[in-house]
Amino acid sequence: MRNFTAIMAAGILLALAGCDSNPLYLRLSSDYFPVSPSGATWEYSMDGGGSKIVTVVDQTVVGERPCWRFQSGADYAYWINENGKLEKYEDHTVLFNGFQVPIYQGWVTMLQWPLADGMSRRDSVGAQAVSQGVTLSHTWVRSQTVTGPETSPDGQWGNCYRVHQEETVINWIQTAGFQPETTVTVRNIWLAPDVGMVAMESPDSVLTLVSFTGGEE
Amino acid sequence: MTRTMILAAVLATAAAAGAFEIEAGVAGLTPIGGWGENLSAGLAGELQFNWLVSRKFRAGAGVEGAVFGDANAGDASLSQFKPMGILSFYLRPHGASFNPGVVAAFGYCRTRLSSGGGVDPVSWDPFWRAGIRWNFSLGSPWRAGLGFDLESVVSQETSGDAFKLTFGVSRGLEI
Repeated sequence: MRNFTAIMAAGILLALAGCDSNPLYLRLSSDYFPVSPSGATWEYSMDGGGSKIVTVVDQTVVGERPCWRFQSGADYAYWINENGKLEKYEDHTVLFNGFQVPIYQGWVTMLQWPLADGMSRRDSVGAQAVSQGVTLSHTWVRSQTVTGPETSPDGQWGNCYRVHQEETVINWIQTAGFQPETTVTVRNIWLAPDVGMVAMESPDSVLTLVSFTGGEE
Repeated sequence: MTRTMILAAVLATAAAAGAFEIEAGVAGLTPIGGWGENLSAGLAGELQFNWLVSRKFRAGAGVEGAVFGDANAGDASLSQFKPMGILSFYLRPHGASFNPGVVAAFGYCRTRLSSGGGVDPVSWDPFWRAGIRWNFSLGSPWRAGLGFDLESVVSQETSGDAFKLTFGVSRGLEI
C-alpha cells in the first residue's frame, strides 16, 4: 500500500513537471470585441498627434437586423456580436462625377469566435451599379489571419490576438477613359480580452488605446 | 511519452498489489461559465484502473479524453486529455442494486483549442473532479455506475468548470 501510494504520488508529480500552462480558459471566456453597452468609449492616441474617440451610441436596426451603433467623429459604424461571430455592416460607395454612388450595403462577418493562432478567413463582395448611364463595378476582398496570443505593441495588454488584414478594392467605371482602379490596404489590429481593439497599425496611422470605459449595462 | 510511461508504471504497481478493477466509461460534459459560450456540450471517454485498498476504499489512476464542438455550426473544437489519480469510497461495495459512493480525482489536463484552421498554444493545467455514484451489479464480476461530477481545470487567471453526467462499466479482477 505504501509503495503504491508513493509511486502514484511520484507519478502525478512527474506528470506535472515540465508542463506548459497558459491562460487558454481566460481567452476562451473573454470578449475580444465588445460591442455593447451604450456609453462604452475607447480613446486612442494617433502617432503624429491627435486622438480618436470611439463610442457605442445606441442600439438600432440596420439591414433589418438589430445592431449596435458606434460613433467616431462624424462617422458611424454598425456591429453585431452574436451567434459566435462578429459582423460589420459594410457600406461601399464609388465616387463618380462628384457623386458617392452606393454600390454595396450588407452585413459581412469579420471574425468568428473563438479566436485561435493561425486562423484565417477570406470575405469578398462583387457588385455593380448604374449611374448616369454608366456601369460601375466594384470588387472587395478582405483576407485575414489571426496570430497570438501576444502582448500589444505598447506592452500594456496581454493575451492579445493580432488580426492581420489585407483589403483589396477594385473599382471600375466602365466608360471610355477609365481603367480599373485597385487599392490595397494592409493593417494590423490587436484585440485584448474584454477590451477590444487596443492598437491598430495601418499605412495612414498608428492608433494606441489610452483609455477604455466599459459603459453601463 | 514520459507521462504514458509513468501511468504504465502506476498501473503495473497496482496490478501487482492484489484485487483491483478496471473501468471504462463515457460521459457528457456541460461547460459552466463563459469559457464554453462558443462551444457545445462535450463528450468524454474514460479508462480507469482502481486498486481495492479495502472493502470500501479504492485508489487508482485513469485517463480521460473529451471533445467539445462548436456551438454555432462553426469549426471550432476543444479537446482535453486528463491523466489523473482517483480516490473513491463506496458504502455498500457488494450491494446488488444500490451501492452509493463518492469519487474524487486529481491530475492534469491538456487542453487544445482549434478554430478556423488555427490552433492555440496547448495548455497543461491542474485539474480536479468530485462527484457521486450509484453503483450496481450487472452479474459478477461486472458492475456499472451512474453519476454526476463537478470538475474544474484550474487554469491561469480563470478556471474551466464543467458539469458531467457519467456512466461506466467495471470488471473486478484478482491477481
